[in-house]
Amino acid sequence: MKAEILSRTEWLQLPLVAVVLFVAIFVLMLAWIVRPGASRFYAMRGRMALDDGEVRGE
Amino acid sequence: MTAPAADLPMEEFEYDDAIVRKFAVATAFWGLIGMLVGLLAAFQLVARQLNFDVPWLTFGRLRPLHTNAVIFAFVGNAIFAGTYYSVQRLMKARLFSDKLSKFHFWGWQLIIVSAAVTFLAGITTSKEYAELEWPIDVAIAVVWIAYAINFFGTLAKRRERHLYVAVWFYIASIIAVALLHVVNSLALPVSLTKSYSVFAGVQDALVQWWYGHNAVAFFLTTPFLGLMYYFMPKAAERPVYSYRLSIVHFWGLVFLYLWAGPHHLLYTALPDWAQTLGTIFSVMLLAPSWGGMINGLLTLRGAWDKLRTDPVLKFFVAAITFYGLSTFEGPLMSLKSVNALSHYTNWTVGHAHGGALGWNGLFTFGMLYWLVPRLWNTKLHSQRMASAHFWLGLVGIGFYVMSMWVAGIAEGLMWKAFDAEGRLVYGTWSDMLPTLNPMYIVRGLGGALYITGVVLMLINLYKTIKSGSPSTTRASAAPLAARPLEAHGKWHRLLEGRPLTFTLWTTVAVIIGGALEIIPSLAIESNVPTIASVKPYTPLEVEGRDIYVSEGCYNCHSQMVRPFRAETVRYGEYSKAGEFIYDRPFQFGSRRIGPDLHRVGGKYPDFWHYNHMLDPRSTSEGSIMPRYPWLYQDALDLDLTQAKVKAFRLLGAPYSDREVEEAVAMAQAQAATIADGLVSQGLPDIRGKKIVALIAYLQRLGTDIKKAPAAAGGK
Ligand code: HEC
Repeated sequence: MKAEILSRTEWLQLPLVAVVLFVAIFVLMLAWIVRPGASRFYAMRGRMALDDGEVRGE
Repeated sequence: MTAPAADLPMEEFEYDDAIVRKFAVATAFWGLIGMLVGLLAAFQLVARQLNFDVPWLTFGRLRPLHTNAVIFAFVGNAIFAGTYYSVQRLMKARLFSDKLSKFHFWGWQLIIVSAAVTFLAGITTSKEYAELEWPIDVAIAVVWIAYAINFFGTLAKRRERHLYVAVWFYIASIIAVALLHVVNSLALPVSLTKSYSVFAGVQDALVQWWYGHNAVAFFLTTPFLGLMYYFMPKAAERPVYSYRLSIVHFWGLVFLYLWAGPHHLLYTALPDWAQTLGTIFSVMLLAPSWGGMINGLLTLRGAWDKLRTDPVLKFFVAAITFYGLSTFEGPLMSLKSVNALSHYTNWTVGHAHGGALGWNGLFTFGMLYWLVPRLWNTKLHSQRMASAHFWLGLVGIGFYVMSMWVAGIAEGLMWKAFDAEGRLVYGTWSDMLPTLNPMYIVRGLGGALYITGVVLMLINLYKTIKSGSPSTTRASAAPLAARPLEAHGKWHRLLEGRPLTFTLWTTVAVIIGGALEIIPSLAIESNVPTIASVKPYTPLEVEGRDIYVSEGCYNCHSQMVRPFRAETVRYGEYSKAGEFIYDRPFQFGSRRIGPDLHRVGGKYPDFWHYNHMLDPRSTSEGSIMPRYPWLYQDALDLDLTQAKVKAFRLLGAPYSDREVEEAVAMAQAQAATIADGLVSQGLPDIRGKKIVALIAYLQRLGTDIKKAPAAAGGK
């Protein structure tokens, strides 16, 4: 049954669905990361790689 | 980390550097081995005698060893070294379990060794970059799970609230690789060393390249991007250029990559919509990839002068540039018009090596030059040697990639060249060899230069290690519970701060992308128009096909005639999806070092194949195909034949009860017919030898469809 339906669909709309889905999620994400006041927050995140928390004994 | 440390209760602990040291050494060691194997294989295309007529040194067996060694041994160990070093420091916690770390390390090395042994012995599934047989596949799954537990366990005991973007890339990689590996390895075993893919034909091809493409994505790209986001700021001593951009980079890649796989199968029997989807998403991939490249490079802003003196930065900057070049070339090659020319040629080989040598190789070297002095508490032995390594590597890649571009485009054009009378200008494969040979030599030289650089690095690192002593790194951080939440913390935490939630999101993204491609491909079975005249292979042909797989003929031969005039004139009728429904695994191939074989059945008499396989030069002047004399000596083993036919029937091939019961007798009878024919032509009796099965298979290839008109006429 499922295979039947699948085999009848030409799947031509699938690329379209995929692109729309992707663009929608992408725009949401963009909106989220440029939310007001986020700059300082991300500037802090950006520094994380530099801090190892190491104790230098020598 | 930004909170005033003074008023927080601090905990002291030690990072596990020992495990990072182990993986770092393994990286350098396997890198050299894997590349040397590649060099030998490359020179075999210049001087075919370099296989010394030894079965396990032939191109078909070396090539999978080479690709697997550099991908899973060299790059794999580099990923483990880099992620284990960075995740501890980013999470301010020692790795979850020392025992698991050790198990992970030794398990992985054991897998590598067993891979090397089995590939050379001709034990392979023939699915590119997934050639390992099922027991080793199971072992990989187990070790990968150990890695995942160790990794996520470390996140669970972290002392840092936020997951830095590098960790996101690691998470996505671990999840996606697990998924890809399991789906693509699904197979029905018939013995310890032989199994058949549960997918067949076009479907198998789609699943395989969904895997193959995403192995490039989630093994060769995303883990290294994580490493880039950690080690590049380290080496530049600056924060990443734009953290926001890195988020865009991450989600862009995770969403897009999984959808682009079908671009490996353009102009094949794959349905059109899937091909279009693959192309669209491949082109879209360009945006996040270049965003990431720019982000990596601009991390050096205001410190470009360091580039002159610091070899680590040289390697990183060049590697990131190659990342950009490869991610530009990839989408370009997925355009149908370009792909029509580039597919099956050396251009693909050049593209792969631009990425592997340029991006993965150079980045790994930079990382080792940065890590080793720190892990052994000392300074790098020689900056000048490292710089020399850098230039050797760069020039080596230049030779390699340029020669493969030229060779690839030349091949693509030669395959299509017609003269005024409408005949193929390069009618035989040997006609093209004079054009390609110089390019193969330049490529080999490029590889040799690159490896010379690696040898310099090994000496340099060895001396560095000798001059130091293993480090123990103590650290201190406040426990998570004691840390205050910042503003914005709540929402952010929901999306990016909780490993479990985050992992779930990533898994969803990965699964959506994967499922959208996989589900329709499972439906393809019913989409493939069946061709009544296409029948399952005879028991002898099944054995012959297994020999074809085992010898790795697919490394040089495709079985997919594309619907172009140049191909139908050269090979015959183009390939139809319905012709492959009994092919487990599919043998489309990815590279034509020799001609396509899908329509070779009936093209030559058995006599010709007998001579050609014994010494290709006897029938095809100047051929670079290896000799296969052992197939004329080794006995044809029919012990498993019945089990194989049974397995195929279980997977859906319509064998009758009689065919299953009398599989061995049928194989023997068919072998006798072929052998008798050859004996009557004055050749030795080969009925009990492997070659007879191979000839039976070759003569069957692509012939079923020729019977179609007769069958249709009967209706
Ligand atoms: C190193 C690459 C290489 C490998 C490995 C290789 N071949 Fe070939 N093969 C070639 C080349 C090049 C030609 C074209 C020249 C010739 O006819 O020998 C060729 C030609 C052929 C032909 C003749 C095709 C035609 O239409 O004329 C057959 C059949 C064939 N190979 C079978 C095999 C089989 C079976 C194996 C595995 C046991 C194999 N080859 C492995 C490179 C390879």
